[in-house]
Amino acid sequence: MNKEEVFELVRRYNEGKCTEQEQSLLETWYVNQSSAPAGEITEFKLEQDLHDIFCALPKSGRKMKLWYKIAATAAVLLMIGAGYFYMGRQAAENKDQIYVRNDIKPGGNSAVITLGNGKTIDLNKTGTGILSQEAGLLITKAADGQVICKLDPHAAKESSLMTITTPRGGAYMLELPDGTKVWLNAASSLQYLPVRAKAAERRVTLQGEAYFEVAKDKTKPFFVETAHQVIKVLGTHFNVSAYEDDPSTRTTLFEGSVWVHESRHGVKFAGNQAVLVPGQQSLWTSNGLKVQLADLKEALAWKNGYFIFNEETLGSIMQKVSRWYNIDVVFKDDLEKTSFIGVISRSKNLASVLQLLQETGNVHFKMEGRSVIVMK
Amino acid sequence: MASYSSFSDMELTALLKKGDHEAFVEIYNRFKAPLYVHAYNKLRNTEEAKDTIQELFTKLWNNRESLTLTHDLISYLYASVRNRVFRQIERKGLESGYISSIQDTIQNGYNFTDHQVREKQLSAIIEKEIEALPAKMKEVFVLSRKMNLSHKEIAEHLGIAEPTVKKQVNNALKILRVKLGIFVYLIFLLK
Repeated sequence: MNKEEVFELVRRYNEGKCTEQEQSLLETWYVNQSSAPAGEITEFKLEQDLHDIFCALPKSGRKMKLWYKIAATAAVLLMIGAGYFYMGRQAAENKDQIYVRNDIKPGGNSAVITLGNGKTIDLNKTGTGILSQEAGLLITKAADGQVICKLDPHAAKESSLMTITTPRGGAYMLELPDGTKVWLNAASSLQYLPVRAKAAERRVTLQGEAYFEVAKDKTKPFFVETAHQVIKVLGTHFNVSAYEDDPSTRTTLFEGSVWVHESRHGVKFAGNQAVLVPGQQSLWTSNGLKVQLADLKEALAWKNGYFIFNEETLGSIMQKVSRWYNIDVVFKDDLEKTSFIGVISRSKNLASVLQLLQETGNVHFKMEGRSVIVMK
Repeated sequence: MASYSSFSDMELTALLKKGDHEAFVEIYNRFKAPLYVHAYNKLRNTEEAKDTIQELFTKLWNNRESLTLTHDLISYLYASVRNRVFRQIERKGLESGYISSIQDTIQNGYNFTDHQVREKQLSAIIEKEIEALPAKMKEVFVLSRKMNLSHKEIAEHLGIAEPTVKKQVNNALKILRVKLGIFVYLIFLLK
């Protein structure tokens, strides 16, 4: 290889355009560059240089922190590459309004319980009182809509698998026989096998997203199984986001303690696990399991009736929007990676949500029936 | 408020993203010596090494909100130094000693090493560089590695008291440190 070719190689590496082999070549060379002989830089010179560097670094006094907070809440500061929007702002110009003939309502309380014997109970369509007393379970609905599942003490047979499913545009909260409360987000499903007193554990399987307040029972640890991980808890409050069409699984802990284990088909993966403390979040991707500090408000926004997007890509935002409003999304102009920051109530109609995103000037929408087209 | 030197790399990164300038200063103090020395060993020029480290940390502060680590802070910082060194090589042009050196490597034939092998080699080199640091500077970095083990996590899960974990971990670390040197810390981080 002549000099021109080598130089070209370096140029391509810097642009991120070289092959894996070329990268391996350059990085191997880099690693094998010999170290300077001892004493080539004196301690004095080292301290001096480090001090010089420090003096040239950006400073920040207390004033900067306060300004940052003000800027963030007033949304005055425009972040590079990100759009922004905030609740309650009225449309500035009429020509940018989204014309909507039939606006789309947001999701609401809606779910279906399927019992082990195949019987289904549509929680929307039932009245209050006893909804079902079979398959070993007694399911009741209170006046406020709260659904409670209890083991039927008079049941002849052992109770069997129970599944609760929310559609797109649905969410529901119910209480399991052990007292655990579960809030299920849209397009999710939870399977539960009711257990008797002598059982050693409690176990559920989740697809989608749910917030749990697990009733304390030291004799029976509670397990949540999702496609790629198993979570073990004793008595805690946490949120799990494990949608099939998401490349990642997120578990956010609010109170108590959980143990997260990577798994395949319910079988624990040796080595890849984490213990979370409140305020932490585990993030599973195909690269493995990682623990990071959580934005608790963001993680539980859905349960509190909000969407909170914190530098979230449009692709991810529209996925959440499509689940809650039960719409299809079509992306034109390669906009999935544009990021946005903002807060909006989940009880607003779809047009309001899209309007606010559109006001950033970074995206435009067209609504056609239950389809939303995303373009520049 | 607790001293920032007791925060782990991960905690500092989270604080940095939120605009905590003290966290930024702690990160600089923790990594300044190892990174500078590493840059100097590649560039063999103190002015260029200074510029590299200064630009790296200035960019770290200015772009703090959009900072995303795929692995951890230490990997990110060393990778940043490497990327800047390669950009410097490009700036120096065709006739520089770097280009000749790379040519030699190709001509003498070499084995394609995979990512993991290169990381191990890099760890070994970083370890040597840190060993060669003046005592005071070495101490700051080495002590900070202890903070990356979360004692609370281990204690809660094993159901034992946190001070016990802290003591056991510290004892283990003391022994390891004496026997294996700083290599242990680096393997732990650069996996």
